[in-house]
Amino acid sequence: MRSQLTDKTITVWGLLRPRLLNLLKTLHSHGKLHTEKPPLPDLTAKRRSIFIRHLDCGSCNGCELELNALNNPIYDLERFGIQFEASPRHADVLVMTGPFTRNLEEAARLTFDAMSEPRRIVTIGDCAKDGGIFKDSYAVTTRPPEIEAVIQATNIHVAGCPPAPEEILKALVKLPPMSSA
Amino acid sequence: MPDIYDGVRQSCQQSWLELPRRAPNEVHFVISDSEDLDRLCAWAKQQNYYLCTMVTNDERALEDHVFKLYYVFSAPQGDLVILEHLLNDPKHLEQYPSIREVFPSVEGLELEAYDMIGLSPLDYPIPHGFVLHEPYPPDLYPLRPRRSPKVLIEERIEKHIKPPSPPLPQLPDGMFFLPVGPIHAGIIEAGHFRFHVAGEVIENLDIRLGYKHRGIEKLFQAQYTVEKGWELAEKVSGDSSFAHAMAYCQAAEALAGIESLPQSALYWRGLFLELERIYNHINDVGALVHDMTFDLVASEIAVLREKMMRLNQHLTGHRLLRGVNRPGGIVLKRVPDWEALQTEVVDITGEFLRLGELIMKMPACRDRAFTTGVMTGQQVKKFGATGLAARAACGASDILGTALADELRQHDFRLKHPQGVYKLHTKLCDEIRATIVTENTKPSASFRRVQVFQKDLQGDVFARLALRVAEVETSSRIIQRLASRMKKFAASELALIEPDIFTQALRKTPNFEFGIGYVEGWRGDIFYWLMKGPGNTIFRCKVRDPSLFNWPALRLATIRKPKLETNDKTQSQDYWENILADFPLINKSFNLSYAGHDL
Repeated sequence: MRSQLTDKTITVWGLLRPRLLNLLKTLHSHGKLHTEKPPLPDLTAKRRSIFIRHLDCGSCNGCELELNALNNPIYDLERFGIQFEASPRHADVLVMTGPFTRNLEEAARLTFDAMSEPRRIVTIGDCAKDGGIFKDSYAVTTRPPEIEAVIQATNIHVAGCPPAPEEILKALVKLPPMSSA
Repeated sequence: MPDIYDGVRQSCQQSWLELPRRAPNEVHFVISDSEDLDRLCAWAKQQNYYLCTMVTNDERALEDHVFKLYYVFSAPQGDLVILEHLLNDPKHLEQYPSIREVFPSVEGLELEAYDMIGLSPLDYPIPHGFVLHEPYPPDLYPLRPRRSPKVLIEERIEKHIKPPSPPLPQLPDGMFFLPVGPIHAGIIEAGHFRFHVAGEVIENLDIRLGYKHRGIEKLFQAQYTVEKGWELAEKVSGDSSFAHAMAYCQAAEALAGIESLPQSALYWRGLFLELERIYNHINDVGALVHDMTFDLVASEIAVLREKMMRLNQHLTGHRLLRGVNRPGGIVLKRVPDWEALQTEVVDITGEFLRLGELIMKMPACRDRAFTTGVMTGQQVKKFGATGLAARAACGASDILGTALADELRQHDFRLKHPQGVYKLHTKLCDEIRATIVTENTKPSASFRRVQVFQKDLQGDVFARLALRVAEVETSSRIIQRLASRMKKFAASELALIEPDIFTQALRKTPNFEFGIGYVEGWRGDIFYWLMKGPGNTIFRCKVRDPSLFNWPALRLATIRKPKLETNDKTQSQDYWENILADFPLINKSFNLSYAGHDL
């Protein structure tokens, strides 16, 4: 530190110069009439910032593997302002996988209730569409109407068993901004 | 070494019957007396037999008009021992003699059987609610055929009023519960953990699973034929898709009596099985390192895993290796460029091994992983843990140097019951044996990159981590060997035998025969027991994922327990302890399947 302070390059002019420049800039802008608005920062990326909560409703773990892959440096979900959250209370979007088993019905409903509005549900994988190959099992039930209504309103489903990460990524990036919900 | 015939002669005082062998290594006995069965099981335990599965089957509509019980054991000599027991005691038609005292690992199978088919042990009561939770009436028993129509089952479920949850048990002063789940704070599956903690130390742990119960065994019966069942089998557990489908197909082939598949099919199966092992081990090591907050390496490993998934996609058209297995062989759209495949696998695993060595030497990793989540050798034996978790305890200080340690080190169905390509080439088995370096290891194995010594495998998180890294190297070497031989197959040579041949063979098989299929997946041995019904339907398909045996092992590895099991209460004891922050590491080091457990 000391050697830097006593360095010859730090002169009085060197210290004053930025301040003088700043002063000049201020004077300059004050002296002029604003003829045009300063350009807005690009907010589109910010408005897309989405917090996601994953909800497993009885999947085989295949969709979870691919969702996990979204966090790797190749797909790198966070560069789009999208990230997975640990709590449904912080989440805008619920990502649902699996055919909706009876044993998970209550837990799924509670998770959904914990989310604040506006909220959306994206369904991932063939099971989450209509039960897939588990459709006719006694252990798979229909989703509660309030959850189904949000799924219908969101209307985003990623097909595949499991869908590839880029498919999931495309769907998530396409989610319209939350403010318009 | 005494074999099973000695055991049967010693233990059975009443009549017993040996049925003809379906496969050279399958021995099938009908033991009619329950006390004989008890004695025989006790004898088997002494001989380090491993319980593969227990199948409960409703055969009341068949010739014997009773429920039947099949225990399948794996003998150290390489035989699979099937003990069939008829529940024909008129007083206890729906109860069976339990072997839980001798083989505690049967607990999960018993609880599952009580929910699914309504059979319970004679000696003690067990609760409902293992896989069928409160929304289901306790006497639903979906696997009893007469209640098969879905409408009937659903009607009963709708009528059922959910009982209130039972009150929490009382804890001593200073201890409290920490409930976690069933919905977890990450991208993982659903299951409930209830920690009993005193300060930070985990004193006890209740695990409740079954949330993901999808009624797979019922679906097999209701909707699938033997030819088509592979579709459902590969959706039992996503990360073991190939191994499950392969076990199913082998069961179907055993059922149809197909003894020889085209050689290329065996090679393909071996290749894909090892690919699945590699991508999962890479994934789990990455997850472990991520939990040790070594994120730079975790990211690099995640890239390697993605490369593996793309390789899978390139080879089979599916990232999880789905849709290639059929009863009778393998269906593939293209034959890869073998040179490219070999280089790709060498590149990926080579890079991974470099990172693996780095992790294993890193002080922060060693500090967190050593003596965390310890499972002693005796506990592994007692609770029947299997697969990687069992092998990782083969150097535990309480068993090192005994026959049990050797038994655990080789607790791998590729070695114990080699089939397919592992039977064709003993070199592959040598590779597997060389994974763990012992005192007697031949010097030929010394040019392996990763050296994991048996004495270091103490059943803790580090042992499981190190073993995963070593197994990736083994699998990579196996793939090299397989690929260099597969070059010789002509590109036109489709590995599938004509589906007609399989269907015809199946048609000749009498109804209500059964077949057994088993595969050493990356978690451990996957077991399928498949019985054919009329018209190629599935009468019963019992699926047993290794997770079923390893969940109790995970609990045991987590809770506070004495280092040495003694009955001397006066002596002060040392304890293995884990704190809450250790649990993510312990959990990831096992990385068990919830879906495979719940079915």
